[in-house]
Amino acid sequence: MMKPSLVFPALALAISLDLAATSAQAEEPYRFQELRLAEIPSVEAEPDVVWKDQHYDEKGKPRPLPDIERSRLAADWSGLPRPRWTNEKGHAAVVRIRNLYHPDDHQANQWLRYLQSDDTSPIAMACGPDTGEPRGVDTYLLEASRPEGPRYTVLEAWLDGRTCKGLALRRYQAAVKPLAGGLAYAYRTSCARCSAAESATLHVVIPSGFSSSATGGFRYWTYLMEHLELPLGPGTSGSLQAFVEGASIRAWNHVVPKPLPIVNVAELRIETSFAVGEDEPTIVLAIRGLNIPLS
Amino acid sequence: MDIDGRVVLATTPVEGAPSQLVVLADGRVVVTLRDSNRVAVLEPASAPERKLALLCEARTPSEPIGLFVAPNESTLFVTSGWGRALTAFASDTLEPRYAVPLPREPRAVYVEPSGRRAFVSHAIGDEISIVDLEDPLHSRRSVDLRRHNGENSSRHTGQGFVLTALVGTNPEHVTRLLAPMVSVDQDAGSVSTETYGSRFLAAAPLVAVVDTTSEALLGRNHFVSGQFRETVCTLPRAAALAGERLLLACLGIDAVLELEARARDPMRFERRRYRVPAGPMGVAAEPGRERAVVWSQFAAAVSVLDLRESAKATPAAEIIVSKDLPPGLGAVEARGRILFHATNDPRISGDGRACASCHIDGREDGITWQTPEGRHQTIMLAGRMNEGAPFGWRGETTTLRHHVGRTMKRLAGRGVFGEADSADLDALIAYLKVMPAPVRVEPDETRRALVTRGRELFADPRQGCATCHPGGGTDRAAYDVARSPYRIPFDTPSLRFVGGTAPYFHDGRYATLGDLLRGVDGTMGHTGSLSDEELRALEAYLEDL
Repeated sequence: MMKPSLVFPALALAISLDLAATSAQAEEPYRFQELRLAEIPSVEAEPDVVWKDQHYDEKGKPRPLPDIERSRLAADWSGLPRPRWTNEKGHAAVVRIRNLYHPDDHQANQWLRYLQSDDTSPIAMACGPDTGEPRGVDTYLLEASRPEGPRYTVLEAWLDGRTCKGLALRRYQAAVKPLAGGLAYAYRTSCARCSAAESATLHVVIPSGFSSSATGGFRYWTYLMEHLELPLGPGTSGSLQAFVEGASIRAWNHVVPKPLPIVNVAELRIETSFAVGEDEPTIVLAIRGLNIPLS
Repeated sequence: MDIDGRVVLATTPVEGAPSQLVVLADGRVVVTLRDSNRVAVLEPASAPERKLALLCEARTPSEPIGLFVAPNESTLFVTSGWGRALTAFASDTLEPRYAVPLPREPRAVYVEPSGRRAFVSHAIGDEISIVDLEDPLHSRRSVDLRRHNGENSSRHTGQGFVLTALVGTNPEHVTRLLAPMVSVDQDAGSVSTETYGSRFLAAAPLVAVVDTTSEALLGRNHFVSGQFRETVCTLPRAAALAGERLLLACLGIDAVLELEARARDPMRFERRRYRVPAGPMGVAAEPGRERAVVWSQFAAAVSVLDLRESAKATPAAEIIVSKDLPPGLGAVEARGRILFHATNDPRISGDGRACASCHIDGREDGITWQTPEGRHQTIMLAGRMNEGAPFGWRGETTTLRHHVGRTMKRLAGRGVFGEADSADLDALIAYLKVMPAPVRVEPDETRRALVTRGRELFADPRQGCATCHPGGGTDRAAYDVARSPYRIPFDTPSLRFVGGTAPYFHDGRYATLGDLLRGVDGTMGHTGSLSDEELRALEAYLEDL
């Protein structure tokens, strides 16, 4: 089943307030970027972690980590996101702590917007004897300026708050393709254990928009960037639409290799569709409001 | 017409109102004649300046509209709107091969390149029909368009006048059909206690993308609501594909939208729009050239669109085909026809709806709307407007002027009560009285006998039908036929054309005429003692009214 997009009401509100685009922008024609599926890097990924089912007991209480896991590092955190916009190498980073008793919902994302509101603000997580139960922690790292090529790292962990050690539940690293001149970075995941409709997903990381929606939902939404998803499985279709303000582009320019021009509002659209009888999904990308080379 | 020379070369009169036409590979022209229940094949003359010659014609079920030639050109397929059928003809002789019954108001037909299936859109009814052409019985399946709206939604999808196929890399294998339609919310009135219109978008356009392999919508839960914008296309009437662009001709806004055909919902991905003369009802893209031709019915004009990316969004040429008004329409009625299809007229509604949004082709939409007085269904107008007052389900108005103005106010429109609007109101009413009603085909002997028997039963005082519906019309009185605790009297409606206006009763509680006749015994006449055969006869008579 597709994940619901929680930013959708924001889009509806934006439209109702006529914030979605200025009239001048609405008259500007879209510019299209031809996208071939094979050009977008793909990585095999496990299905999403089902937090409640797998890591909570029947009373809804988080299961403790086994002793052996308790002492194991979930990951080498040194190369992974720290509680900053960027890690020590200047790459865009997100740390998302899942809500202790509602780990499947995305409420934490809303708070991240404020917790990571600038480059120096701390994230509200610290390990120590009083931090209580284990909890889910997700980290995302976009290395857009990496000399070997842009890369994205996902790690979802079950962490003991007392020791900051725990179990890596799902992790993968994918090369990413810059789209729309660097306004977006994209990769695909395939999932052999998922249903046909959910067997492939397009992931798009963009600067945070003041209004955005994607039919596959979003993974996180911080002050710096957001990660949206579109279905690529047979019999599915998806739509992404994001309006990004100049302030967001300015922040984005800190983490991408080639700065984008600062504009009032840039609109990005990506449409995916895959009829059952077709060989591969169709991906259409268009932008307006941002005059940059699209290749 | 010589499109390049921008001149009319020749005009060929035909015996009826042409609805759609197709040019065959050898130059012959096939045309459906909507009001004479015929399809005709015309042959080009030796010179383009000479009229076409009638080669042959054939009778069709009532109201032929949609037309499609099978890829091998051996078979013509014709949809009949009022006759609810898809008929196949041999394309060389017009010999009828078979007819397939369909649900209400079929319009466009598309046959896939393999010739295995025909897809048919409907002006009302939340579905696209799929006819299995390989099955000896030509069984019918359907694509459920309610999936656009969620299973418990109060929205309905209709206005399906067009179907186009998006051809991918393999032209023999069409994987997607694009069906421009409009989703409406029958509960839109619940947002206000005073009106059943509002600034919220009761009518939201979309292009349904049908996955032809799975015979289902590609994707689901499309976002169809939103706030009213003056530019939306709520009366889509014709479409053509130019590569990966869908050209959609829209009545009301008098525009051709250039949409991204590969999008999830192309209606939400507009690339450009062209202003065209009033009443665009036909569009064709010229293969191999970045050019399209648009037919504007109300202005009787042809426009040529330059589809190159760098071109302006205004027609490269406009050619007036005729300055004569169509038969049966004077200047006043012609003005009324434009007003009837006018979207975004603040006098008519607050959410951009036109008269034609609910009264599709002058009929009704099969929808039971939430109104301040409870659920009432749309009434058919065409062919019924000369039967006199009162008007409305409660018989609440005594003049058509008053009723039309009141309806506009209830749709949150400003109304047409001012002196400045008086001429427009006159024009609208004049058009209501002449708008084309369905033309029925002559029944065969068996059917005629059944109808005759039904007429006898209808007139029989023991049934009492003719007491309130003399001659199938109305006694202009109101009765508490619903037997509600509030004893609300409902105006007796005329039964003209009742056979094609399901569902029935003011609140649409009966799906078929048969259900109605069985369900109203004692409250609307006495039908409980009739045998099944007699009920079938009575039903046949009603269908013939």
